[in-house]
Amino acid sequence: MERFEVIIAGGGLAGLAAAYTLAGAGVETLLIERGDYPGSKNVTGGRIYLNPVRDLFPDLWASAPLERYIVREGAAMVTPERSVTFFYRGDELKEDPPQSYSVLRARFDRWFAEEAEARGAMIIPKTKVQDLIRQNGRVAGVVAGGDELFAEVVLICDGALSPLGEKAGLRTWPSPRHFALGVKEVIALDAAVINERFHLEGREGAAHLYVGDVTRGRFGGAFLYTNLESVSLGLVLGLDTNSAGENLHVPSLLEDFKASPEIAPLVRGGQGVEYSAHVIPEGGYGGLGTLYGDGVLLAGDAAGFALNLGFTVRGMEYALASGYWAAQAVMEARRAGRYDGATLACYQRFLEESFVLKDFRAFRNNPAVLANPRLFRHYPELAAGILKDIYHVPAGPKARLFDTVRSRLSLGELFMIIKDLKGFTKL
Amino acid sequence: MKDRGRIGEGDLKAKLGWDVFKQGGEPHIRIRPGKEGDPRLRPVVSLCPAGLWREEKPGTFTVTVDGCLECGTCRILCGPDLIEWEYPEGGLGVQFRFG
Repeated sequence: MERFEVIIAGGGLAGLAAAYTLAGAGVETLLIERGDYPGSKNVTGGRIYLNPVRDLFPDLWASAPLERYIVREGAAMVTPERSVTFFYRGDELKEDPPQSYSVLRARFDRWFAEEAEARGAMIIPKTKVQDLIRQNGRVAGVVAGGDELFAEVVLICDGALSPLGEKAGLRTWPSPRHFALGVKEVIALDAAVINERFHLEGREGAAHLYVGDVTRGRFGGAFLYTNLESVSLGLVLGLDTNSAGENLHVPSLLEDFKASPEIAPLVRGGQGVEYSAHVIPEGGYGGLGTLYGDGVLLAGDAAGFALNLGFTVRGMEYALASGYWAAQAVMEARRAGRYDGATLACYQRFLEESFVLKDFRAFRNNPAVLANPRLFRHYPELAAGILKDIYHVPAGPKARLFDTVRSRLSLGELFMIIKDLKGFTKL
Repeated sequence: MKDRGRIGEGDLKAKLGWDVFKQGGEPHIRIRPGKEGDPRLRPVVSLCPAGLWREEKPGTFTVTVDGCLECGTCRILCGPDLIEWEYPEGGLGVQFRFG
């Protein structure tokens, strides 16, 4: 009978962070990954923020295969005929160490796994955890590749869908209103071309977000991140189809976005090298699963740890930190010599005391506020309409600037804006 | 945005051709017997990023798994009453090189 101290199901950021931390502390750790290598099943939009997790893994970042550090932020409101874009550039974004990088997960996770192995973690790829073993009402191990493997504690890090979280009774079958669908193309471009088109130098990078007609006015948005020698181009669409009208054809939506005047000149001549998709937890605080049970912990996307903050969409830091704190909880249980739920409950406490659950509490109203349909159709139309009028020079006399703007802002419109602003104060 | 047609079937296939797939094993997604005509399957026909769900005859739905990106959209939208959904066995299915 194979027996380990800790078995981790899933080699994404949460599982790898836990393996790296546990192995570093001398705990016997087995990580089981269903893909050919850790990273081969993992998808990101493309951007990681290091500040929240830098100190949890102090030795990790210096040699990490990240792509470009982001020094230019762009945000655009898009309508079928026109768009309004702003760019932000700030000296602080160029300071060392940079706060945020574009990232490709197949590269990063594979490297992270090697770092965890170098510290003593055992990693078995190409093997799926099919089931959990239960003994005396607690999780006692896993069935993987047809073998029974036993452990003191099992860390479930099997991603946003988390079939294992369901088997552990920590989650139910996911609800569409707690998820969005992300689709992405990686488009290869020369580094020099990227630098020229996006006004970058060296390893500087750009991050653009788009909202409005990119999702035909539905909840979601689109993104473009520059990598070293490619760009990640994609879009995100809420899965709560009950509230929507006719269904959107997602593959066509991405094609249209790529062909739009906002994007086409930026990716011209590029060669698509990968097409990927994954669901993203968007349920916020209300979408979190139960985080622990007897002999089991849940971390990363499997626990629902992703947050849409409007201008920033974050998941990877929460995955890394929850993996780290899950490892700390395991070590606490190891010291106590007990791996029951009451002992592992310290995991919840660690997360409450860290930025993870502090962020989830602070932003608990975000899903409801960001579900406001006016954000995705009306406001882009309004902003673009006002700018159209401002920039227009007629044959005859031009209206005063105030009158031009005021003509778009009726009393009813102003009332609705104030109402929406009240909602935005909860963001 | 001008071009608002549907992406051609061949173009979508070509795009999936950028990816590495390791095929084999049993289909990991199946419509439960007798549920092929359930209208609750319709939304996933247009949402599946790989275009693997079809309404072959009006009101009858099919799914294939070659080219599945394992995104989970159909798992979430259709639910356990309508479909069986497992990840492919270890070492099979899509293998991202960029991610």
